[in-house]
Amino acid sequence: MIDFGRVQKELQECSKDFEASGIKVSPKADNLARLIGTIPGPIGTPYEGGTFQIDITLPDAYPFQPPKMQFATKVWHPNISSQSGAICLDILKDQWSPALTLKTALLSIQALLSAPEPDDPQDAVVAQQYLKDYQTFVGTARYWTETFAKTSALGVEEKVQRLVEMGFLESLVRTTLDAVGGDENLALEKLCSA
Amino acid sequence: MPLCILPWQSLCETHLRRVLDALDVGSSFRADLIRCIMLTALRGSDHGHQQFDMNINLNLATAEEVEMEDISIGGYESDPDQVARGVSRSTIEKLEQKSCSVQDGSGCCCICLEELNGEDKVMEIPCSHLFHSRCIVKWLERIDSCPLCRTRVEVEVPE
Ligand SMILES: [Zn+2]
Ligand SMILES: [Zn+2]
Repeated sequence: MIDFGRVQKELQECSKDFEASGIKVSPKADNLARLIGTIPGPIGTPYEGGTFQIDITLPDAYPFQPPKMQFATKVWHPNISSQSGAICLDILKDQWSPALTLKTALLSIQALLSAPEPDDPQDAVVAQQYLKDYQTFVGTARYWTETFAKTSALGVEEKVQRLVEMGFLESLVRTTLDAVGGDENLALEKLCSA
Repeated sequence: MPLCILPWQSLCETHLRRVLDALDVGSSFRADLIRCIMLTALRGSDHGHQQFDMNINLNLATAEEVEMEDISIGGYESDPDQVARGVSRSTIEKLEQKSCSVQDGSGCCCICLEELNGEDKVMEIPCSHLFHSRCIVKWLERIDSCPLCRTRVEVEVPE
């Protein structure tokens, strides 16, 4: 059974120091087991200026088991899958401790953005590029930040929510929005004609 | 296989295909092998394992003659039932006997994030960190180290 009392406390703590950390966590639905985290791209990295959203799912035994976290925003990084958003980070696996929180986990992910570990890659293609052609890596990572993590890409959650409220399946809404580059009207058209 | 892609079956399959492509094995053998590995992995996840190591030793004799030697699963990392990463029952009981109450304002239990106050049973583990008994016991049953400083929790066996 998830300790929802603790989750509530975490959410309060997190919103209290949002000004300082820039890290946000908000529930996706009303059951608190699925949340969305937001981290700003670290300054001085190719992710600077971007806002990255992370899907969070709490396992039943939270906080005795680590939260499941995965990038919802596409990101070009050796330790994050460019396709699925899966994150390779020890504290989300066997190095988890209940003394960590959603906020500290998100801070660790932000630190991972600043300090990639290409020797322990999640995405082999990105890691190869990082090691062999760093300049191109920086260019691609910056391009992905511009394309997927800038303000225009924000508001996706609101679009998703509006379309889901119209009765479409969330997974379908997301893939359709993705396919039309985030254009809500085009997505609606596609969804209706499907 | 990178542990992190295990939850995504399609990624695992793509990864395996890429690895096996490099070995230049026949396509039907490759398909068999992928199916075999995925089934073994699924069996592992059926038992509730989220992570495990699978060692596959392939002996490639010639391009035609391929022998699959051994597929074994070992080291269920995140499954406390399989691998004794938690502390023993007797150690937990020993710690429970020593648990006591503390004054209000002794700080906060980092597991539930609630204050430690006079009414709560509080446990001090050997590294001197304090938690609610009910909270730390749940953790120690899984993992044998302090949530705060990761010191291993060992208690001497009394004579
Ligand atoms: Zn507690
Ligand atoms: Zn400690």
